[in-house]
Amino acid sequence: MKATIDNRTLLLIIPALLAVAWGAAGATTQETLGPDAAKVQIVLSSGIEDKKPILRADVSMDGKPLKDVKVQFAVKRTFGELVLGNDQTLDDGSAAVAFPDDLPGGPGGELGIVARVVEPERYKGAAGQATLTGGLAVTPVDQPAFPRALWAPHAPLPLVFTIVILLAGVWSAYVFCVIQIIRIRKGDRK
Amino acid sequence: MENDRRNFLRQSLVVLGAVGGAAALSKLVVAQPAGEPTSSAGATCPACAAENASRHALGTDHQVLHIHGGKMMHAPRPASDPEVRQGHPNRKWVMVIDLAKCDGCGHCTMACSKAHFVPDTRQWIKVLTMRDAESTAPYFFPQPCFHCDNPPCTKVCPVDATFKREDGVVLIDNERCIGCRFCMAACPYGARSFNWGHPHEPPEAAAEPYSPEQGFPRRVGTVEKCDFCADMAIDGMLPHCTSGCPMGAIYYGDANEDAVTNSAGDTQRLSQLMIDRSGYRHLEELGTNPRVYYLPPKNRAFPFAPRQHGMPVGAFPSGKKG
Amino acid sequence: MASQHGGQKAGAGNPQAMSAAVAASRAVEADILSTLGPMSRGQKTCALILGAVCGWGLCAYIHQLRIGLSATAMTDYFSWGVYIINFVFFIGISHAGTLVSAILRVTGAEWRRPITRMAEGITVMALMIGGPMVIVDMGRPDRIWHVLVYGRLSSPILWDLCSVTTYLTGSLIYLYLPMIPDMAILRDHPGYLAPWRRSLYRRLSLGWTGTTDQWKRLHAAIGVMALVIIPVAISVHTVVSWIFSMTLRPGWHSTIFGPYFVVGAIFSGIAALLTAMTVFVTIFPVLHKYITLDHFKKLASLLLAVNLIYIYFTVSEYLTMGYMSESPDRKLMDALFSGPYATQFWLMAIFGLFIPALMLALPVTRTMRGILVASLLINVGMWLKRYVIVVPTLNSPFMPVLNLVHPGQPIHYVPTWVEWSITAGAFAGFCLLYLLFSKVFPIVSMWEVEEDAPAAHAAPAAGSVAGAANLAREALP
Repeated sequence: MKATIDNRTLLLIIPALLAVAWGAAGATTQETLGPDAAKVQIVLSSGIEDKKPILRADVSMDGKPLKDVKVQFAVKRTFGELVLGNDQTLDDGSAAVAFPDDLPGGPGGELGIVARVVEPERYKGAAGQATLTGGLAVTPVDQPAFPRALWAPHAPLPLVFTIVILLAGVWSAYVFCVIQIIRIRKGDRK
Repeated sequence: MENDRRNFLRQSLVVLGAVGGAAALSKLVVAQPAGEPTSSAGATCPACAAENASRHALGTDHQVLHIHGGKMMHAPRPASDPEVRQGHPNRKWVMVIDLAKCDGCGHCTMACSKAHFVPDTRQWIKVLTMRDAESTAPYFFPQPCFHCDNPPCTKVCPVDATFKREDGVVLIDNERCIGCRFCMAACPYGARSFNWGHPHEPPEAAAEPYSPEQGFPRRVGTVEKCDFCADMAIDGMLPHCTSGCPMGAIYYGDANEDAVTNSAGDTQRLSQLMIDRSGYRHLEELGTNPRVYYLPPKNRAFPFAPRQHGMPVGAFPSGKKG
Repeated sequence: MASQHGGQKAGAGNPQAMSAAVAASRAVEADILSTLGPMSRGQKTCALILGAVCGWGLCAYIHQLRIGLSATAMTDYFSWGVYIINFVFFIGISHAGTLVSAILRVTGAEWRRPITRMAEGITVMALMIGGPMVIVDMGRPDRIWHVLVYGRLSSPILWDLCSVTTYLTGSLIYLYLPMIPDMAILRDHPGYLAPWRRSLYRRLSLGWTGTTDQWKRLHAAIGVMALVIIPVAISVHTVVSWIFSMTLRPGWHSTIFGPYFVVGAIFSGIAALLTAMTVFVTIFPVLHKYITLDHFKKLASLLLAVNLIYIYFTVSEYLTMGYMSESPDRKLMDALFSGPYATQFWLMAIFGLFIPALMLALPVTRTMRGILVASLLINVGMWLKRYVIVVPTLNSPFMPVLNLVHPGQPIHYVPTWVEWSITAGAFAGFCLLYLLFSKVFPIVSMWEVEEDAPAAHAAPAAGSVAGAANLAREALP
């Protein structure tokens, strides 16, 4: 006779099954990786096609190029990834989108590019990254001092000069009066 | 000689009396026990408490770092740190609010108020109901501080307590503020609020060391407002209002990168948004150059319906729209 | 007798004219000195009541220091209120001294002589009460020193600080200089004086003996101060107005504010001076000899002129706003003319501007009593006017008002007992300081009055203050 699963075992098994299912679901919802995604390699490069700069992704699995794979190209930004476009891979496993030349990048125009597979399901989630030049070169500015302005810590010079000159004029008149007062007082001691 | 000694004694008494009087007076003003926090490494930061991550470490620059979900984050810096006034280098924080997606739910306000311990008598980001004219349609209008590039508020501050940084953020140093409220009079958008009475903050807020970048613990008699959550932005985390918006109506980003992102991770090119969606700034003609752009409520995702959520809703003929 | 030991020109004048001049001087001095001395019962009662109100105001302020500005009715929308209104009001009436004393001195109007000290006194007292009003309004008065250490020159508050301290210093100098000869007269007074008075007058008289050199220096200093204090005073109220007009708000962001406030200040200053003159002539009846109906009427004419200019500015302001009626201005004007602030606005306009103008213009009301009533109406009206400037604008911001405490309800500003108590304390303090001033220092400038007396001109000889003064003045280039 086969042993039946008693209540105590059930109490152990069911939560375990639930945990596994939840974990799997979690894993799936988090990354939605296709089953063969881990085997896919994507190599990113930049190039010129028809005299226009392009971003090129070469998708392959086990050394063999994959065709009819939809690849999404994006550039890394601080809070997310800016999608540049999608393209279907050709027979040689390459997909390309136009590489905009006015995207602000690093000092030499470096941009962090990401290419992800979005279709078909089995390869979905496979990604490749590269830092490529071709964006707008943005030189980091050495922390500039704030300009003199009304909204800035330091006032514009014409304002400073006006205030100083007006106050100096008036207070020198006061000094004159105080001198007179002192001389009046001294006059008594003559 | 006798006279000199007597005079000296008299003068010292006067000085002591004056000093004692001043000390007593200052005690009167700040009567609540403020309780200077000791070290932030010992205190629990509210974000940590919310996310159940409470590890702290010292970074290589000896700044306290928090670790949230495996990510290192900088703690907001004290007012005495000159970097607080300079701002993050080579960044220009900017916000875009898509009025076509806003349904007036007020979650942005709730998220911001919760994270900054804002009392419910004020709001740092307000969801207003606007209606430009009787003949035009009403719409919801989330309005944080605009962090203007030509800020009327910093112009009038007599003590440089509110200041504009290189990264575009306008902050308030509540250890410098004298409570004259000139900045509140000068702000045409009504973005600022005042601590009229002694603040009643929960202990986890009061125990934090004060930083202009987070705006708490509060001080009585000082001004406060939205701080653009720049201390989070530098670590790649969206501001609370942005990530708290369930409709993804608020976008935030670095104008130097020409990109803004919303709570759904949707990243757009800032310049393209302006072209495609006709972005504008509110009351542009005032010349304040706000850093918050609006996308007009065209092809609305949600029809306008007055919502309560503890906020009054009423039609009001607003000023001109850009 | 105090003859100032100086100017002993043995010159012209027969002995009879000389002694007439001396006798005239003595009479003036005796009259004015009689206003000093111990307080009568009525004056003591007055002082006690004023002191009590002032003390009550102080208690209210201490209460505010303990619980913060939540003791007031101010909110995030009505972020300025009664304290700023009081500030502008007191700085406004401080222009009394400048106009009467300085402008009339510079233009050689001799009738100013008996009232210059009263006017200069108003200036100093008003500044000493108005200045602290700003501190009362601050959220963190314990940090007032930040303004000196961290001050930003771009802020109109800094301009205000520079301007008001400069004006206060100048007013104190300008009040003190003409007091020196009077201090000498008091120092040498042969009758009984309390020891503290004697020593005070001695110190303040700086050893004045009335030599030609001393007169020359005194006149030079007074002349310079009279000239300099005029632009300083103009700058003070201009800068105070810029606290409002350097913002973007409707009703405040107006180019007219500088001149508007200056004219308003001169307006309320003369009115305050007229009230003060009436009060002093009532409590010191002997002053009737020196401050006559003629003085009241001349000042009333000046007041009428300034009244009309102020009406002109007001009409210009609202007509310009109302003609094209931009949206933010529209809401403000609706509130002012027919909305929640209509009572205050029309009360101010009718009883503070038009009725006083009529009273000052029509001969039937150009009497001492009529002028007093007009001046009181004007001062109340000008306080209301400052209210009408500050509060309705705060009621009409650009963005919709969000009432978080009572959703959907409009927000009103109704000052609390703390604000009214401090206001009452400020007014009481002003009156009390002024009363005490008039009991310690002669409220009418003796030597200036003597200088102008006809007898003095006839005998510019030794033995009379006035004679010596006249000699020295004529000797100036």
